[in-house]
Amino acid sequence: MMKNSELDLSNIDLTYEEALEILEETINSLETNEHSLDEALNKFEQGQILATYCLKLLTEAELKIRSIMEEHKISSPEEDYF
Amino acid sequence: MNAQNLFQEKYWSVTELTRHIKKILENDNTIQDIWVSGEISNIAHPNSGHLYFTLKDRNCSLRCVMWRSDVIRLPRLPNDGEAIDIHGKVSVYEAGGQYQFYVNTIQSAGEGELYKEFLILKQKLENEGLFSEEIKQPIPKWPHSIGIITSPTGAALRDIINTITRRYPLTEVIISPSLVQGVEAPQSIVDAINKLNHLAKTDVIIVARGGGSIEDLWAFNSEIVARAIANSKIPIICGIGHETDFTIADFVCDLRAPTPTAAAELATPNREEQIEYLLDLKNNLKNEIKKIVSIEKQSFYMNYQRLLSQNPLMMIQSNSQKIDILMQNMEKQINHNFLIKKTYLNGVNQKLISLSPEKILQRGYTIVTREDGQIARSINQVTNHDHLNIIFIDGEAKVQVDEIHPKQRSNIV
Repeated sequence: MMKNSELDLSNIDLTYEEALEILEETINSLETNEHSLDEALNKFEQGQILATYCLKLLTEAELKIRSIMEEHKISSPEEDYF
Repeated sequence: MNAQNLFQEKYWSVTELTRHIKKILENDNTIQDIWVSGEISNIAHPNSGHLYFTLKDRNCSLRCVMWRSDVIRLPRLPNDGEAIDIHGKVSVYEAGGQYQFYVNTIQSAGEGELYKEFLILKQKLENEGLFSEEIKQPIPKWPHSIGIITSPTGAALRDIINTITRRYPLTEVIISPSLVQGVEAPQSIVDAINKLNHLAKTDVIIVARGGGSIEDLWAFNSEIVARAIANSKIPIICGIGHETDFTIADFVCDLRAPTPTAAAELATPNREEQIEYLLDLKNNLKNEIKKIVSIEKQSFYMNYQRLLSQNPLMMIQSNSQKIDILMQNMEKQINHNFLIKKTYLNGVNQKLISLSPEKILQRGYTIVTREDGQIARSINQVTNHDHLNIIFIDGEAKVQVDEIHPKQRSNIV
Protein backbone atom coordinates (compact mmCIF):
# COMPACT_ATOMS: atom_id res chain seq x y z
CA MET A 1 0.00 0.00 0.00
CA MET A 2 1.62 3.22 -1.11
CA LYS A 3 1.54 6.32 1.03
CA ASN A 4 0.04 9.42 -0.47
CA SER A 5 3.37 11.15 -0.51
CA GLU A 6 4.66 8.57 -2.97
CA LEU A 7 1.86 8.98 -5.44
CA ASP A 8 3.43 11.70 -7.51
CA LEU A 9 3.46 10.80 -11.20
CA SER A 10 7.09 11.68 -11.67
CA ASN A 11 8.09 9.57 -8.69
CA ILE A 12 6.53 6.31 -9.64
CA ASP A 13 9.05 3.72 -10.66
CA LEU A 14 6.80 0.86 -11.63
CA THR A 15 6.74 -0.99 -14.91
CA TYR A 16 3.51 -0.84 -16.89
CA GLU A 17 2.77 -4.40 -15.86
CA GLU A 18 3.29 -3.71 -12.16
CA ALA A 19 1.21 -0.53 -12.18
CA LEU A 20 -1.60 -2.26 -14.06
CA GLU A 21 -1.65 -5.11 -11.57
CA ILE A 22 -1.90 -2.78 -8.58
CA LEU A 23 -4.63 -0.80 -10.35
CA GLU A 24 -6.67 -3.94 -10.93
CA GLU A 25 -6.22 -5.02 -7.32
CA THR A 26 -7.33 -1.58 -6.16
CA ILE A 27 -10.56 -1.82 -8.13
CA ASN A 28 -11.24 -5.34 -6.90
CA SER A 29 -10.67 -4.16 -3.38
CA LEU A 30 -13.15 -1.31 -3.79
CA GLU A 31 -15.69 -3.72 -5.21
CA THR A 32 -15.58 -5.93 -2.12
CA ASN A 33 -16.30 -2.76 -0.14
CA GLU A 34 -14.71 -3.66 3.14
CA HIS A 35 -13.20 -0.24 3.71
CA SER A 36 -14.00 2.74 5.79
CA LEU A 37 -14.93 5.78 3.75
CA ASP A 38 -11.49 7.27 4.31
CA GLU A 39 -9.70 4.18 3.05
CA ALA A 40 -12.01 3.95 0.07
CA LEU A 41 -11.33 7.54 -0.93
CA ASN A 42 -7.62 6.90 -0.60
CA LYS A 43 -7.81 3.83 -2.77
CA PHE A 44 -9.81 5.75 -5.35
CA GLU A 45 -7.18 8.43 -5.56
CA GLN A 46 -4.42 5.87 -5.75
CA GLY A 47 -6.23 4.10 -8.56
CA GLN A 48 -6.77 7.29 -10.54
CA ILE A 49 -3.09 8.11 -10.30
CA LEU A 50 -2.06 4.64 -11.42
CA ALA A 51 -4.45 4.70 -14.37
CA THR A 52 -3.13 8.06 -15.47
CA TYR A 53 0.41 6.78 -15.07
CA CYS A 54 -0.27 3.74 -17.25
CA LEU A 55 -1.90 5.86 -19.93
CA LYS A 56 1.05 8.20 -19.83
CA LEU A 57 3.49 5.32 -20.28
CA LEU A 58 1.57 4.03 -23.26
CA THR A 59 1.06 7.32 -25.05
CA GLU A 60 4.41 8.93 -24.39
CA ALA A 61 6.69 5.95 -24.86
CA GLU A 62 9.16 5.92 -27.70
CA LEU A 63 10.54 2.66 -28.94
CA LYS A 64 14.24 2.24 -28.16
CA ILE A 65 16.08 0.41 -30.88
CA ARG A 66 19.54 -1.01 -30.33
CA SER A 67 21.68 -3.56 -32.00
CA ILE A 68 24.01 -6.16 -30.62
CA MET A 69 27.70 -5.61 -31.30
CA GLU A 70 29.42 -8.45 -29.58
CA GLU A 71 28.10 -11.04 -27.26
CA HIS A 72 28.11 -8.79 -24.22
CA LYS A 73 27.60 -5.38 -25.66
CA ILE A 74 24.72 -3.60 -27.20
CA SER A 75 24.83 -0.28 -28.97
CA SER A 76 23.59 2.89 -27.42
CA PRO A 77 20.49 4.28 -29.10
CA GLU A 78 22.61 6.78 -31.07
CA GLU A 79 24.62 4.06 -32.70
CA ASP A 80 21.64 2.09 -33.85
CA TYR A 81 20.72 1.12 -37.35
CA PHE A 82 18.28 3.84 -38.17
CA MET B 1 11.58 -63.14 -100.41
CA ASN B 2 9.75 -66.41 -101.45
CA ALA B 3 6.15 -66.73 -102.59
CA GLN B 4 5.05 -68.26 -99.25
CA ASN B 5 6.11 -65.14 -97.33
CA LEU B 6 4.11 -62.92 -99.68
CA PHE B 7 0.85 -64.57 -98.59
CA GLN B 8 1.71 -64.47 -94.81
CA GLU B 9 2.65 -60.77 -94.88
CA LYS B 10 0.28 -58.72 -92.59
CA TYR B 11 -0.79 -55.30 -93.70
CA TRP B 12 -1.22 -53.17 -90.62
CA SER B 13 -3.53 -50.22 -90.59
CA VAL B 14 -2.14 -47.04 -89.12
CA THR B 15 -4.57 -47.31 -86.24
CA GLU B 16 -3.58 -50.91 -85.53
CA LEU B 17 0.10 -49.99 -85.49
CA THR B 18 -0.43 -46.90 -83.42
CA ARG B 19 -2.52 -48.75 -80.88
CA HIS B 20 0.04 -51.52 -80.75
CA ILE B 21 2.80 -49.07 -79.97
CA LYS B 22 0.62 -47.41 -77.35
CA LYS B 23 -0.05 -50.75 -75.72
CA ILE B 24 3.62 -51.58 -75.58
CA LEU B 25 4.43 -48.30 -73.92
CA GLU B 26 1.52 -48.40 -71.48
CA ASN B 27 2.34 -51.92 -70.43
CA ASP B 28 5.89 -51.02 -69.55
CA ASN B 29 5.63 -50.31 -65.86
CA THR B 30 9.08 -48.80 -65.62
CA ILE B 31 7.93 -45.71 -67.44
CA GLN B 32 4.40 -45.33 -66.05
CA ASP B 33 5.21 -43.53 -62.75
CA ILE B 34 8.46 -41.63 -63.09
CA TRP B 35 10.26 -38.36 -62.57
CA VAL B 36 12.06 -36.82 -65.52
CA SER B 37 14.54 -33.94 -65.37
CA GLY B 38 15.25 -31.49 -68.15
CA GLU B 39 14.94 -27.99 -69.45
CA ILE B 40 11.57 -26.67 -70.44
CA SER B 41 10.88 -24.88 -73.70
CA ASN B 42 8.13 -24.13 -76.22
CA ILE B 43 5.55 -23.53 -73.56
CA ALA B 44 1.95 -23.18 -74.77
CA HIS B 45 -0.91 -22.43 -72.42
CA PRO B 46 -4.06 -22.00 -74.54
CA ASN B 47 -7.54 -21.10 -73.32
CA SER B 48 -8.40 -24.71 -72.64
CA GLY B 49 -6.12 -24.38 -69.61
CA HIS B 50 -3.99 -27.36 -70.59
CA LEU B 51 -0.24 -26.89 -70.72
CA TYR B 52 1.89 -28.06 -73.63
CA PHE B 53 5.70 -27.93 -73.66
CA THR B 54 8.87 -29.67 -74.64
CA LEU B 55 11.33 -31.03 -72.09
CA LYS B 56 14.79 -31.45 -73.41
CA ASP B 57 18.41 -32.07 -72.58
CA ARG B 58 21.49 -31.85 -74.76
CA ASN B 59 20.60 -34.75 -76.99
CA CYS B 60 16.89 -35.41 -76.95
CA SER B 61 13.52 -33.80 -76.45
CA LEU B 62 10.23 -35.02 -75.08
CA ARG B 63 6.77 -33.70 -75.91
CA CYS B 64 4.75 -33.07 -72.72
CA VAL B 65 1.17 -32.27 -71.88
CA MET B 66 -0.35 -31.37 -68.51
CA TRP B 67 -4.12 -31.29 -68.09
CA ARG B 68 -5.80 -28.20 -66.68
CA SER B 69 -6.91 -29.98 -63.49
CA ASP B 70 -3.24 -30.52 -62.61
CA VAL B 71 -2.03 -27.19 -63.98
CA ILE B 72 -4.21 -25.12 -61.64
CA ARG B 73 -2.61 -26.76 -58.63
CA LEU B 74 0.80 -25.34 -59.53
CA PRO B 75 1.92 -22.32 -57.46
CA ARG B 76 3.28 -20.79 -60.62
CA LEU B 77 3.95 -21.68 -64.26
CA PRO B 78 7.53 -22.60 -65.14
CA ASN B 79 9.57 -20.17 -67.18
CA ASP B 80 11.08 -20.88 -70.55
CA GLY B 81 14.52 -22.41 -70.22
CA GLU B 82 14.03 -23.30 -66.54
CA ALA B 83 15.44 -26.56 -65.26
CA ILE B 84 12.55 -28.59 -63.95
CA ASP B 85 11.55 -32.06 -62.78
CA ILE B 86 8.26 -33.48 -64.07
CA HIS B 87 6.31 -36.46 -62.82
CA GLY B 88 3.91 -38.57 -64.86
CA LYS B 89 3.71 -41.36 -67.43
CA VAL B 90 4.42 -42.12 -71.05
CA SER B 91 1.72 -42.75 -73.59
CA VAL B 92 0.77 -42.05 -77.22
CA TYR B 93 -1.23 -39.24 -78.76
CA GLU B 94 -2.89 -41.35 -81.43
CA ALA B 95 -4.16 -38.66 -83.71
CA GLY B 96 -0.75 -37.04 -83.94
CA GLY B 97 1.23 -40.23 -83.97
CA GLN B 98 3.22 -38.86 -81.15
CA TYR B 99 4.50 -40.44 -77.97
CA GLN B 100 4.04 -37.97 -75.15
CA PHE B 101 4.75 -37.56 -71.50
CA TYR B 102 1.57 -36.91 -69.52
CA VAL B 103 2.61 -34.65 -66.61
CA ASN B 104 0.76 -34.53 -63.30
CA THR B 105 3.16 -32.32 -61.34
CA ILE B 106 6.12 -30.01 -61.90
CA GLN B 107 8.90 -29.01 -59.51
CA SER B 108 11.92 -26.79 -59.87
CA ALA B 109 15.00 -28.83 -60.48
CA GLY B 110 16.44 -30.21 -57.32
CA GLU B 111 13.31 -29.37 -55.38
CA GLY B 112 12.42 -32.99 -55.12
CA GLU B 113 15.72 -33.84 -53.51
CA LEU B 114 15.47 -30.91 -51.17
CA TYR B 115 11.99 -31.90 -50.13
CA LYS B 116 13.15 -35.41 -49.33
CA GLU B 117 15.96 -34.06 -47.19
CA PHE B 118 13.45 -31.85 -45.41
CA LEU B 119 11.20 -34.79 -44.60
CA ILE B 120 14.05 -36.91 -43.30
CA LEU B 121 15.36 -34.20 -41.00
CA LYS B 122 11.86 -33.31 -39.84
CA GLN B 123 11.18 -36.92 -38.86
CA LYS B 124 14.52 -37.22 -37.09
CA LEU B 125 14.01 -34.09 -35.01
CA GLU B 126 10.40 -34.97 -34.29
CA ASN B 127 11.53 -38.35 -32.97
CA GLU B 128 13.97 -36.59 -30.68
CA GLY B 129 11.06 -34.62 -29.25
CA LEU B 130 12.22 -31.22 -30.48
CA PHE B 131 8.73 -30.31 -31.74
CA SER B 132 6.94 -31.45 -28.59
CA GLU B 133 4.45 -29.00 -26.99
CA GLU B 134 5.93 -29.68 -23.57
CA ILE B 135 9.25 -28.05 -24.30
CA LYS B 136 7.73 -24.95 -25.84
CA GLN B 137 8.18 -21.90 -23.65
CA PRO B 138 5.36 -19.44 -23.01
CA ILE B 139 5.65 -16.00 -24.59
CA PRO B 140 5.76 -13.19 -21.98
CA LYS B 141 2.77 -10.89 -22.01
CA TRP B 142 4.62 -7.66 -21.17
CA PRO B 143 8.05 -7.84 -22.80
CA HIS B 144 10.60 -5.30 -21.58
CA SER B 145 13.05 -6.15 -24.34
CA ILE B 146 12.52 -7.90 -27.69
CA GLY B 147 15.34 -9.45 -29.71
CA ILE B 148 15.07 -9.54 -33.50
CA ILE B 149 17.09 -11.90 -35.69
CA THR B 150 16.77 -11.05 -39.36
CA SER B 151 18.53 -9.39 -42.24
CA PRO B 152 19.38 -5.77 -41.32
CA THR B 153 18.52 -4.66 -44.83
CA GLY B 154 15.34 -6.60 -45.46
CA ALA B 155 11.72 -5.45 -45.45
CA ALA B 156 10.96 -7.89 -42.63
CA LEU B 157 12.89 -5.78 -40.12
CA ARG B 158 11.07 -2.59 -41.17
CA ASP B 159 7.71 -4.30 -40.85
CA ILE B 160 8.52 -5.68 -37.42
CA ILE B 161 9.81 -2.36 -36.08
CA ASN B 162 6.73 -0.54 -37.41
CA THR B 163 4.43 -3.08 -35.84
CA ILE B 164 6.12 -2.90 -32.44
CA THR B 165 6.18 0.90 -32.55
CA ARG B 166 2.49 0.96 -33.27
CA ARG B 167 1.49 -1.62 -30.69
CA TYR B 168 3.86 -1.35 -27.73
CA PRO B 169 6.57 1.31 -27.83
CA LEU B 170 7.13 0.86 -24.08
CA THR B 171 9.47 -1.98 -24.88
CA GLU B 172 12.95 -1.90 -26.35
CA VAL B 173 14.19 -3.74 -29.39
CA ILE B 174 17.63 -5.31 -29.74
CA ILE B 175 18.61 -6.33 -33.24
CA SER B 176 20.92 -9.28 -33.69
CA PRO B 177 21.49 -9.23 -37.45
CA SER B 178 22.10 -12.35 -39.50
CA LEU B 179 22.16 -13.67 -43.04
CA VAL B 180 18.86 -15.21 -44.00
CA GLN B 181 19.78 -17.20 -47.09
CA GLY B 182 22.76 -18.82 -48.66
CA VAL B 183 25.20 -21.42 -47.39
CA GLU B 184 26.53 -19.23 -44.59
CA ALA B 185 23.08 -18.37 -43.33
CA PRO B 186 22.51 -21.28 -40.94
CA GLN B 187 25.66 -20.56 -38.92
CA SER B 188 24.91 -16.86 -38.98
CA ILE B 189 21.45 -17.48 -37.56
CA VAL B 190 22.85 -19.80 -34.88
CA ASP B 191 25.41 -17.15 -33.86
CA ALA B 192 22.70 -14.52 -33.64
CA ILE B 193 20.60 -16.74 -31.36
CA ASN B 194 23.60 -17.47 -29.15
CA LYS B 195 24.53 -13.78 -28.86
CA LEU B 196 21.07 -12.88 -27.61
CA ASN B 197 21.03 -15.79 -25.20
CA HIS B 198 24.40 -14.74 -23.87
CA LEU B 199 23.31 -11.14 -23.48
CA ALA B 200 20.34 -12.47 -21.49
CA LYS B 201 18.48 -9.17 -21.64
CA THR B 202 15.60 -9.86 -24.03
CA ASP B 203 12.38 -11.52 -22.85
CA VAL B 204 11.56 -12.90 -26.27
CA ILE B 205 13.23 -13.31 -29.67
CA ILE B 206 11.69 -12.95 -33.13
CA VAL B 207 13.38 -14.84 -35.95
CA ALA B 208 12.11 -13.48 -39.23
CA ARG B 209 12.54 -13.53 -42.97
CA GLY B 210 10.42 -12.29 -45.82
CA GLY B 211 8.88 -14.54 -48.46
CA GLY B 212 10.88 -16.52 -51.01
CA SER B 213 11.28 -19.79 -52.80
CA ILE B 214 12.01 -23.02 -51.04
CA GLU B 215 15.71 -22.57 -51.74
CA ASP B 216 15.60 -19.04 -50.32
CA LEU B 217 14.09 -20.30 -47.08
CA TRP B 218 16.33 -23.32 -46.94
CA ALA B 219 18.53 -22.01 -44.16
CA PHE B 220 15.61 -22.34 -41.77
CA ASN B 221 15.43 -26.04 -42.52
CA SER B 222 18.96 -26.66 -41.34
CA GLU B 223 19.66 -28.90 -38.40
CA ILE B 224 21.96 -26.52 -36.55
CA VAL B 225 19.36 -23.76 -36.68
CA ALA B 226 16.68 -26.16 -35.41
CA ARG B 227 18.86 -27.19 -32.47
CA ALA B 228 19.83 -23.62 -31.65
CA ILE B 229 16.15 -22.68 -31.53
CA ALA B 230 15.28 -25.67 -29.36
CA ASN B 231 18.14 -24.94 -26.96
CA SER B 232 17.44 -21.22 -26.66
CA LYS B 233 16.66 -20.22 -23.08
CA ILE B 234 14.73 -17.25 -24.40
CA PRO B 235 11.43 -18.08 -26.11
CA ILE B 236 11.48 -17.70 -29.89
CA ILE B 237 8.70 -16.60 -32.22
CA CYS B 238 9.22 -17.51 -35.89
CA GLY B 239 7.90 -15.40 -38.72
CA ILE B 240 9.33 -16.88 -41.87
CA GLY B 241 8.14 -16.40 -45.42
CA HIS B 242 4.46 -16.48 -46.23
CA GLU B 243 1.44 -17.99 -44.54
CA THR B 244 1.78 -21.33 -46.34
CA ASP B 245 5.52 -21.78 -45.90
CA PHE B 246 6.48 -24.27 -43.22
CA THR B 247 10.14 -24.72 -42.43
CA ILE B 248 11.65 -26.86 -39.68
CA ALA B 249 12.21 -23.69 -37.67
CA ASP B 250 8.42 -23.24 -37.67
CA PHE B 251 7.96 -26.63 -36.01
CA VAL B 252 10.66 -26.27 -33.40
CA CYS B 253 10.08 -22.67 -32.32
CA ASP B 254 8.00 -21.76 -29.28
CA LEU B 255 5.37 -19.96 -31.33
CA ARG B 256 4.90 -19.84 -35.08
CA ALA B 257 3.67 -16.75 -36.89
CA PRO B 258 2.62 -16.78 -40.55
CA THR B 259 4.60 -13.61 -41.36
CA PRO B 260 7.18 -11.29 -39.75
CA THR B 261 4.46 -8.71 -39.00
CA ALA B 262 2.32 -11.37 -37.34
CA ALA B 263 5.35 -12.40 -35.28
CA ALA B 264 5.67 -8.84 -33.98
CA GLU B 265 1.96 -8.84 -33.13
CA LEU B 266 2.27 -12.08 -31.18
CA ALA B 267 5.20 -10.66 -29.23
CA THR B 268 3.41 -7.52 -28.07
CA PRO B 269 0.21 -6.38 -26.40
CA ASN B 270 -1.93 -3.98 -28.38
CA ARG B 271 -1.59 -0.41 -27.22
CA GLU B 272 -5.00 0.64 -28.57
CA GLU B 273 -6.71 -2.12 -26.65
CA GLN B 274 -4.76 -1.29 -23.52
CA ILE B 275 -5.77 2.36 -23.68
CA GLU B 276 -9.43 1.42 -24.03
CA TYR B 277 -9.06 -0.99 -21.13
CA LEU B 278 -7.45 1.65 -18.94
CA LEU B 279 -10.21 4.15 -19.68
CA ASP B 280 -12.69 1.45 -18.74
CA LEU B 281 -10.86 0.87 -15.48
CA LYS B 282 -10.94 4.57 -14.73
CA ASN B 283 -14.71 4.49 -15.19
CA ASN B 284 -14.99 1.46 -12.95
CA LEU B 285 -13.06 3.31 -10.27
CA LYS B 286 -15.42 6.26 -10.48
CA ASN B 287 -18.49 4.05 -10.33
CA GLU B 288 -17.22 2.09 -7.38
CA ILE B 289 -16.38 5.15 -5.35
CA LYS B 290 -19.75 6.71 -6.21
CA LYS B 291 -21.49 3.59 -4.95
CA ILE B 292 -19.50 3.61 -1.75
CA VAL B 293 -20.15 7.30 -1.09
CA SER B 294 -23.83 6.85 -1.78
CA ILE B 295 -24.08 3.97 0.67
CA GLU B 296 -22.25 6.02 3.29
CA LYS B 297 -24.65 8.92 2.76
CA GLN B 298 -27.70 6.72 3.22
CA SER B 299 -26.23 5.14 6.31
CA PHE B 300 -25.40 8.56 7.70
CA TYR B 301 -28.89 9.95 7.17
CA MET B 302 -30.46 6.95 8.81
CA ASN B 303 -28.32 7.49 11.86
CA TYR B 304 -28.99 11.20 11.82
CA GLN B 305 -32.72 10.60 11.84
CA ARG B 306 -32.36 8.26 14.75
CA LEU B 307 -30.34 10.88 16.58
CA LEU B 308 -32.93 13.54 15.95
CA SER B 309 -35.67 11.33 17.23
CA GLN B 310 -33.78 10.98 20.52
CA ASN B 311 -33.72 14.80 21.02
CA PRO B 312 -34.26 15.56 24.79
CA LEU B 313 -36.26 18.65 23.92
CA MET B 314 -38.76 16.51 22.17
CA MET B 315 -38.97 14.21 25.12
CA ILE B 316 -39.55 17.13 27.42
CA GLN B 317 -42.25 18.51 25.19
CA SER B 318 -44.03 15.22 24.90
CA ASN B 319 -43.79 14.60 28.61
CA SER B 320 -44.97 18.09 29.34
CA GLN B 321 -48.01 17.43 27.25
CA LYS B 322 -48.57 14.24 29.15
CA ILE B 323 -48.42 16.14 32.36
CA ASP B 324 -51.00 18.65 31.13
CA ILE B 325 -53.34 15.87 30.26
CA LEU B 326 -52.79 14.15 33.56
CA MET B 327 -53.44 17.32 35.43
CA GLN B 328 -56.62 17.92 33.55
CA ASN B 329 -57.75 14.46 34.40
CA MET B 330 -56.80 14.91 37.96
CA GLU B 331 -58.82 18.11 38.23
CA LYS B 332 -61.79 16.47 36.72
CA GLN B 333 -61.47 13.57 39.07
CA ILE B 334 -61.05 15.81 42.12
CA ASN B 335 -64.02 17.89 41.12
CA HIS B 336 -66.03 14.81 40.60
CA ASN B 337 -65.05 13.37 43.96
CA PHE B 338 -65.74 16.66 45.63
CA LEU B 339 -69.16 16.84 44.08
CA ILE B 340 -69.98 13.37 45.29
CA LYS B 341 -68.81 14.09 48.79
CA LYS B 342 -70.62 17.40 48.84
CA THR B 343 -73.82 15.75 47.77
CA TYR B 344 -73.38 13.09 50.37
CA LEU B 345 -72.61 15.66 52.98
CA ASN B 346 -75.71 17.60 52.05
CA GLY B 347 -77.73 14.47 52.46
CA VAL B 348 -76.25 13.74 55.77
CA ASN B 349 -76.73 17.28 56.78
CA GLN B 350 -80.38 17.17 55.94
CA LYS B 351 -80.75 14.04 57.95
CA LEU B 352 -78.92 15.59 60.75
CA ILE B 353 -81.04 18.62 60.69
CA SER B 354 -84.14 16.54 60.65
CA LEU B 355 -82.85 14.60 63.59
CA SER B 356 -81.72 17.66 65.51
CA PRO B 357 -83.21 18.31 68.93
CA GLU B 358 -84.33 21.75 67.76
CA LYS B 359 -86.79 20.20 65.44
CA ILE B 360 -88.06 18.03 68.24
CA LEU B 361 -88.30 21.04 70.56
CA GLN B 362 -90.12 22.94 67.81
CA ARG B 363 -92.74 20.24 67.86
CA GLY B 364 -93.37 20.97 71.56
CA TYR B 365 -91.26 18.39 73.16
CA THR B 366 -88.80 19.31 75.90
CA ILE B 367 -85.53 18.00 77.09
CA VAL B 368 -85.21 17.27 80.79
CA THR B 369 -81.77 17.24 82.40
CA ARG B 370 -80.71 16.45 85.98
CA GLU B 371 -78.60 18.56 88.12
CA ASP B 372 -75.44 16.72 86.98
CA GLY B 373 -76.27 17.65 83.42
CA GLN B 374 -77.36 14.21 82.31
CA ILE B 375 -80.52 13.97 80.24
CA ALA B 376 -83.34 12.21 82.09
CA ARG B 377 -84.81 9.73 79.69
CA SER B 378 -86.49 7.54 82.16
CA ILE B 379 -88.55 8.01 85.37
CA ASN B 380 -86.07 5.82 87.05
CA GLN B 381 -83.42 8.48 86.63
CA VAL B 382 -85.56 10.81 88.71
CA THR B 383 -86.13 10.82 92.46
CA ASN B 384 -88.38 12.91 94.55
CA HIS B 385 -87.23 16.41 95.37
CA ASP B 386 -84.60 16.36 92.54
CA HIS B 387 -83.85 19.63 90.92
CA LEU B 388 -84.41 19.29 87.21
CA ASN B 389 -83.83 21.51 84.19
CA ILE B 390 -86.46 21.71 81.47
CA ILE B 391 -85.22 22.96 78.08
CA PHE B 392 -87.88 24.52 75.85
CA ILE B 393 -87.37 25.70 72.25
CA ASP B 394 -87.30 29.16 73.59
CA GLY B 395 -85.74 28.87 77.04
CA GLU B 396 -85.13 26.84 80.17
CA ALA B 397 -86.99 26.35 83.54
CA LYS B 398 -85.55 24.99 86.77
CA VAL B 399 -88.10 22.78 88.66
CA GLN B 400 -88.27 20.48 91.62
CA VAL B 401 -89.98 17.07 91.63
CA ASP B 402 -93.04 16.84 93.81
CA GLU B 403 -94.19 13.32 93.06
CA ILE B 404 -93.08 10.38 90.98
CA HIS B 405 -95.47 8.02 89.19
CA PRO B 406 -93.76 5.26 87.15
CA LYS B 407 -95.91 3.64 84.48
CA GLN B 408 -97.03 0.05 84.96
CA ARG B 409 -95.17 -2.29 82.57
CA SER B 410 -98.26 -4.00 81.42
CA ASN B 411 -99.63 -0.66 80.33
CA ILE B 412 -96.77 -0.06 77.96
CA VAL B 413 -97.90 -1.35 74.63
